[in-house]
Amino acid sequence: MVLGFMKPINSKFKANWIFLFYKAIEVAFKLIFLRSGGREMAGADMAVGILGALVLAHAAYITILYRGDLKIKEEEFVRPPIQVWIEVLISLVLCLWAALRVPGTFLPILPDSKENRVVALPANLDFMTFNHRGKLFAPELEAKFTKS
Amino acid sequence: MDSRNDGAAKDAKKSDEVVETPAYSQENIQHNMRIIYYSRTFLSIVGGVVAGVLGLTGVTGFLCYFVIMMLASAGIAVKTKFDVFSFFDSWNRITIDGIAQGFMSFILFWTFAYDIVHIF
Repeated sequence: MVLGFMKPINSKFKANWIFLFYKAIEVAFKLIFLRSGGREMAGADMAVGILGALVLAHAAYITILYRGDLKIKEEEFVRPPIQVWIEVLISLVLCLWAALRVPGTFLPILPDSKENRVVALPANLDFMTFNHRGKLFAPELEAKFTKS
Repeated sequence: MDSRNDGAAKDAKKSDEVVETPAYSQENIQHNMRIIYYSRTFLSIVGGVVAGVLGLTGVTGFLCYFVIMMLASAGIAVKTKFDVFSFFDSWNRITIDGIAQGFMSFILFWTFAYDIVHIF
């Protein structure tokens, strides 16, 4: 019952093909969502997310087989087997990791943080004046300018 | 001379005590909100499929959704390294914001997965 890959599903509705098709759509949907985030180093995290989706698909497959067995034995469905619970937990952890990592890092919103400093002047200085009252305020940051 | 300069220094100190409205970088606020929105939507979809596969019905299903959203909030708080106010303007953004939008996706995928796994 661990892998369950080779067992046919006893169902009139060909659940296996509909199910695989649905899972393919789901993975594609998630990929489209995740593609809009930041691109750098997102490859490994996206792989973790896809792995989580695959483990979840496998858990669903095992549950379908289990239900088929229950129908044959004419028993009631109470809860899925322990293996399904474990696989669902694993996939939840993997998908949590991917969901937090893939869309990108947060950017600071305060104007005096290091990433938000204006370190280069734009090309058109015609409308910029520097002879204003700002010279009365002492600068709070160490002046560090980059060449660009 | 000295008293005049002292007066100017004292006045400067008094005006420094005036509370200023903080100027946030709007673009970065929206960037951060978009990240939270994507994370929550993805987790709502995953949560829906999880609830469907496990065969949860009724209140336990909704409980599953709120548990996953709380885990997502905790994850986002860890992602900001608990220094929330340098990335967002209030705690509401992390704890409450994307939950209503993700709810519909959760119900949709919950119904999908439950039907496919348990009914058909």
